[in-house]
Order: sequence, then C-alpha cells, then structure tokens
Amino acid sequence: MYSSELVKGTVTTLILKLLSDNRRMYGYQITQAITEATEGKITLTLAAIYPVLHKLKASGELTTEKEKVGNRTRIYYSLTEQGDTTAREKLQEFADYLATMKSLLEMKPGLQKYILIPQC
Amino acid sequence: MLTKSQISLIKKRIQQEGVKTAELAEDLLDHFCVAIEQQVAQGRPFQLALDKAFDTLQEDELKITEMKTQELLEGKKVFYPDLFQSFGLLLMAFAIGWLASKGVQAISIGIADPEMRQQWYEQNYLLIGEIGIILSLGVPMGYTIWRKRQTQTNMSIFSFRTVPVYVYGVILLIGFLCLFWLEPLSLFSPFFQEGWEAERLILENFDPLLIVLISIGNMILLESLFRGIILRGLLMTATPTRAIFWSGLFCALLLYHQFASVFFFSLTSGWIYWKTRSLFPSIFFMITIYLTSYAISHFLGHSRGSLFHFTWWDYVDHNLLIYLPLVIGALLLTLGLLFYLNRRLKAESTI
Repeated sequence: MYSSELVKGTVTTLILKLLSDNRRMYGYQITQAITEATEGKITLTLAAIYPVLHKLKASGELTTEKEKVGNRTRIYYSLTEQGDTTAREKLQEFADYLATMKSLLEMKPGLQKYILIPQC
Repeated sequence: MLTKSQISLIKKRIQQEGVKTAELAEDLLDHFCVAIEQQVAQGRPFQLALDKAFDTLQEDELKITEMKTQELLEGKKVFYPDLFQSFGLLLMAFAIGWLASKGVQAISIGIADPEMRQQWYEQNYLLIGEIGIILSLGVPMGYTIWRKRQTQTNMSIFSFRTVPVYVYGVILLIGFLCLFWLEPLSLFSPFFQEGWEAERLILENFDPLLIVLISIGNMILLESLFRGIILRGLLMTATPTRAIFWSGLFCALLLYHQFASVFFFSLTSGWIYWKTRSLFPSIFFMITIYLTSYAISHFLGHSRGSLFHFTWWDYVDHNLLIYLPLVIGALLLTLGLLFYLNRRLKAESTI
C-alpha cells in the first residue's frame, strides 16, 4: 500500500483516466476498479474519492445520470467534453511528471554531481 | 437486493455520521448498499454486514468526506466569509450606518430652529431609522450576494431547508422563556437606560402595527446577514462553537446599545441555525421573541402606560423574591428545551 500523501495528488488523474476508458461509472465501481487494477496497492477511502467526484462535477468536468437500482438511486459519472480535454491534459502532464521522476531517481551522472556537492 | 427498511437503516447511519450534502448522501448510500449486498450474498446476516461496512471506515471518515466535499464545492467555488472577511462585513455595516446618520444630520441642519428640527426628527424617526438599518445591513449583504453570484454554480445563497413542525413549537417556547432570563442583561446594561426612555416616547406616536411590521423586517435582515451569511461562512472555516460565538459577537457589536441581550439571543439563534442548517427556524426564533414581547407588553403593560417598555422587573414591583426564581426557572427550562431539541434532532437526523 502506498502512503496517502503519495496517492493524494493522483486521485483526480486516476478518476479521469478511468472515466475516459469507460463511458460511465459509479463511485463504488471506481474504487473497486482502482483497487483491482493496482492489486490493492492503492485503495481509495470515501474521503478521497467522493469529494473529488463532486468537485469535478461542480467544475463541469463530469456529468451525472441517476438511475433507480432496487430501492435506491445510483449516480453514474461520465466525462463532459470539457472533462475529456482535461483528462487528456492531466494524463499528459502526469506521464511527463513520471518521466521526470524516473530520470531523477535513476540518478543521472549530471544530477549526481549536484546532489553530492556538500552544501556550504 | 436490500429491502426498503434495510436501506432506511443505512441511510440513517450515514446521516448520523454527519453527512448532510444530499447528493453525497445518495452516493454513499449506494456505496454501502453494494458493499453490504456483497456480504449478504456470501451468507452474512444483514446486521453483521452493516456493522462490518461501517467498522472498516477510518475514524470520522464520513464526517471528513462531508467536510471535504463542502470545502471543495463551497469553500473554493463560492464566497463564504471567514473570520477576517466577516469582520470586514461588520465594519462595512458600521461605516454605512455612520454615513447614514451623518446624512440625516446634514439634512436636519437645514432646519434652523432647534425645536422644528427636533419635531422633524421625531416625525420621521421610523423612516430615518429604517433607511439606516436597510443600508447598514443591506449593503454588506448585497456585497456578499454579488461576490457569490460571481463564483457560484448552482447553489442557493441562503439556506432555507424545511424542518419538522415540532422544532417551531420548541423554538416558540424557548423564545418566550428567553424574555425572562435575558431581561436582567438588558435591564441593567448601562447602554440600555441611556436612550431607551426617549425612544419609547417617540415610538408611542406611531401606529403599533407599523412598528411591529418594520421590526419583523429588521429581524429577517439581521438573521440573513449574521446567520445566513456570516455564520454559514464561519461554519465552513471554524468549529461550530467558534463560528456561533463570533457571529453572535459581531451581531451584538453592531447593536451595541443592547449588547448583552443581543449577544445571547444571537448565540441561541446561531445554535438553532447550526443544528437545523436553515434560516427559517432562526428567523422564527427572533420574530417569536419580538412578537411575544410585544404581546406581553400589549396585554400586561398597556394599562401601565408602558406599551414599548414592559419589563417583568416593573411588573413584579421590583420584588427580588419573585423576580429571581422567574429568571432562574426560565433559564433552566430554556437549557432543558435546548437539550431536548438537540437530542431529538440528533436521533431523527431528518434535517
């Protein structure tokens, strides 16, 4: 399991990615999909997923459809056109970030030089 | 598939955990239903599955989910004044009130004869006062509404939720009892004695119905600003106790000539607003206090020629042995009713 600090900044991107791959999903489905896809390494709490879903809806990235399931209502989330653009931008940004982190962590010789210089 | 009564149990549990945002509650209800249905399908009894679903939550997880949702939806999207901004709104109200009084002075200075000036002032007392109140409360409200309109998506500016009828019944009693235990605070306040006698004499020249209607309008304005805007904003950024305290203090500072009583009225009204998240009960509370006070003055005080200045202290002929039990008894009963209201609202979680 990764620490919540590490996961925190990626929740929006994860949700947008899932919704760009699936036409529509509901909250529980999103949490399960993330847990399964990461083999339990990332498990989102309720406080991590639902506020973000509602924020994305308020800012126009997501739209909702309500459906009756038995005796309750289920809210399905899907990307709007604006959300689709945001999803692509976020994924691009995230991929770029990962590449940067990778190069940082691989300790290129040029970078090592700066890290190893003792600070005055 | 879960039954209606099982779903109601889950719903109640979610509400008890502090979830108030309707759409979030719907989301969470479905979330828990799916999780519980999976457990039930594996042969676990419903009650055990329900307990397990809630036991796996982290401490205050639902409360945090609600807070984060409100913060993300409202705190950043919509203008909700924090403590500093609320103080700014109070200063704005003071400044507008001061400017309005200077305006009146400037107009009255044109009347050279002091007697005529005093007569003009007395004749227009209600109009002058009302313009001052509307401006000093209306401008900060207008400013806030303008700020909110600029940022908000589809949320209402004021919170007007419906509450069960019994809440109004309890508030009616609390409002009536407040008149007893708050009276000593205003009666023995140094500011209270100063201007009240002169004001009372002027007010008796006007139609009582007009005064009542104007006062009700003022209560609505006062509650809209101090509970509907300031307290609602503070509840987003501070603990409920702090939020209620500061909104009460700001309200009392604006009406400083009745500081002590207004402060306690406001604390009670703030608590009611926090518990119900609706302006209806808090406005009802303030109007109840005013109308009850007026009705008592009308029926008990009129014969003594003190329609606008009835006090129980005078009524019991300054007899401390009668007055003290009356005040203390009313205070204890009020606390009991607040306790009852708190417990019932908590148990029902219907608001």
